[in-house]
Amino acid sequence: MKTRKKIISLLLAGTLLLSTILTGCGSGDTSTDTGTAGTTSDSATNAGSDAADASSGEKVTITYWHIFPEGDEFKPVHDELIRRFNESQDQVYVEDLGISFFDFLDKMNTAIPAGTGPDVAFYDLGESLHRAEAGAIVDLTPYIERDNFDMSQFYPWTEEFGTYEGHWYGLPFAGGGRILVYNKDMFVEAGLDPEQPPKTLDELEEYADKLTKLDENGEIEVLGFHPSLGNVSIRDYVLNRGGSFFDENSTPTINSTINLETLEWYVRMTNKYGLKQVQSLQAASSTTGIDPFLAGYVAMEVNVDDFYKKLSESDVNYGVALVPGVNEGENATQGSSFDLEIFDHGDQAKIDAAWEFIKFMTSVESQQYWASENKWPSTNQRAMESSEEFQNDPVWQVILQSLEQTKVIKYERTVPNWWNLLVAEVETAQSEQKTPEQALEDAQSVIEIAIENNKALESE
Amino acid sequence: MSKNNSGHSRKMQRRQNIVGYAFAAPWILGFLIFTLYPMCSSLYYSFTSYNTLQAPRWVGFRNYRIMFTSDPLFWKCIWNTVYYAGLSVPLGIVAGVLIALLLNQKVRGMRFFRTIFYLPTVVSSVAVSLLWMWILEPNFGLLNTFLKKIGITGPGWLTDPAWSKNSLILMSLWTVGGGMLIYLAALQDVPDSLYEAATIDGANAFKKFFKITLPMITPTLFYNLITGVIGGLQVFSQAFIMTNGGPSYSTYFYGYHLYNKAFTEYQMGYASALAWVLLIITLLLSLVILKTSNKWVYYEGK
Repeated sequence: MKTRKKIISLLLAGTLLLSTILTGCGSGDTSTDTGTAGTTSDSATNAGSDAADASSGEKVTITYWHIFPEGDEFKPVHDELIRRFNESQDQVYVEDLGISFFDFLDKMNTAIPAGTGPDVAFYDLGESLHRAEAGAIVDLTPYIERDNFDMSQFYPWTEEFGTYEGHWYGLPFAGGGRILVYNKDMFVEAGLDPEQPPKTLDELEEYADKLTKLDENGEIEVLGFHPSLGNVSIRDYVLNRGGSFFDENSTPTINSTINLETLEWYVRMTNKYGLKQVQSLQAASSTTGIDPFLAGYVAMEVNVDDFYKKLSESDVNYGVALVPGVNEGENATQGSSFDLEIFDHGDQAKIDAAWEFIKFMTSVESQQYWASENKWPSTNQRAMESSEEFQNDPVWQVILQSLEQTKVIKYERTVPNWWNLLVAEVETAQSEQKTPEQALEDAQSVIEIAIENNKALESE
Repeated sequence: MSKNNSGHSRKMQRRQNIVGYAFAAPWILGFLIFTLYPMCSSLYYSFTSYNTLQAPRWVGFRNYRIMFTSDPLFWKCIWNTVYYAGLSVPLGIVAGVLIALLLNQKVRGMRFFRTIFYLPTVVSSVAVSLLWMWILEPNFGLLNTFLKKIGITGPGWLTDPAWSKNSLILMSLWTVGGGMLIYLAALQDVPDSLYEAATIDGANAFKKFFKITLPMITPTLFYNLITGVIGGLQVFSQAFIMTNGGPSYSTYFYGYHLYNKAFTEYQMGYASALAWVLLIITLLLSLVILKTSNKWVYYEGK
């Protein structure tokens, strides 16, 4: 998937630049033709003027950039939410711009320092601290307190990795954890009960052996399970076992016993059927963009919650379950959440307007509509749990349970790139160049050095 | 000429100069704005800590110090890059000359073959990388399927750290057509009279190649060596698309490290320092090649 993204982004870099300009104009039109809101006053509303002034007829226009460009499967629902907001009141008008996910970060990273960024952006809650530290985004805490905005409606884990010293810098939007998806037909074929997915890692392995099918040449035709196919990483398995990568003082704990046990399991599962076989599956799925589970190459895989949309549109006879752990009932995986952040361009009226907008977007009603239509879970717990539709749907039920057990990894400001450093060492263990123990020791020391270097650069 | 006349011609000279610069202005402006200015600012940034969101902060030589004393990836990527350039450049030259020799024969349809061999150079490196990902695919890729037919189990070309760099070097030969075209032009410039004389003296084909052809095309070799080394040190896109610098940093080249620092870690200051070190390395290498060139490059008429 990653490779494909890169290729596409490289190939289309030029054309996309053009098309963002075009969609920029286009999306403005699509928003306006749905309502009479088209008569927007331009941003002539004076800087410093209060939102209250807007009630005198002056409409505040704010810009909003997100990752749903023209043609995106999630765009219609997202558009509808913006339209509903624009129609719900007559003081704020939102002009949105969808930018391809591949270009979004690049565009933001050049726009923010240049001061040409939007008033509101769809971003990653876990990394809001990075932008908060730089003073680019607005501290939402005063607004939350002023309006008594109830933050407890969001899953508790969003607060764990989305706040800094108790301050919020973004309101959680969609997100989720991970689930195990399995092919019921393959279960039946292998003599397994399709209503009894594996509950522990031992069961998972046992099932995987039964589900793996070889052709007459001994080549793998169907792989029972592979720990890194789907959308999952060793982070999930570490969190699942209650491990971590940093302690509460941000000291790396890469070479802990739990992490070593996890990596040993990970390497063993990776190499069970030969690394090359699996790599070819991975290569095939990343170049074609076809998920190996949906293509029928694997019988079970771990994927993100919002995979539900693709599952529901496929013709695979699928089942979903919580990701198995060492013991039954331990199903934690890594959670993540997008968020809406407000950028400070020195215009209080726009910040106030933006706050009204993001409150609307993350509200229970909006988020229920989002999750139900897009089959992409919301990180608004109240929205997820108060919906009758979700209560009556077995797949949503599993997703809701997974969201409750979700754990998060905090942004490490002294070494934001620690994951890249670790993954290279995990690879050496997977290709058996190093023992898992050696790989983790090396990762630990590489990350410690990186922290030292970053600190040396930051010190006065 | 009279005084009056020379004054007139000076004036004319000046006018011609102005017109000349005016015509060159688009390039000069482009150079100043898009090349010189960014270069100078990157030199400044290399002495700062700059994360793109906040204003750069002066840190003196700290970026350079960290690079040389405590960045393990720096030395790793230097080694990878030297290995890549050290093998791919000579191989590319040998292959280019060999193909040029073949295509210099007087055979029917030679133009067709010349086009065919040049064609891969025209294809964008992204498309080439994509194509080669499939050729080098370990299980059903073209190369390993062929090897299996003759009884050899091929390696995981891009997925085995022991092979990945070599695979990219092998792949770099794909674009040898660009150099070939230049060699071909050089070969056709070698006067026939020299070969005729050698034939009369009884020289065989090998002798003719090493005593006539090779010395006569050394200026071209020299040019291709320099551009090859510069290009080789900047290798990036193949690793970026095909291997992500992996597995386990085996294709983590200098350009990749620079890219990572700048665009995934947002350490623009450090990345700028890396860029300047690469520039200095490139300059030094070019200087060495230049200095030794009078020993092996033969210029006709000198």
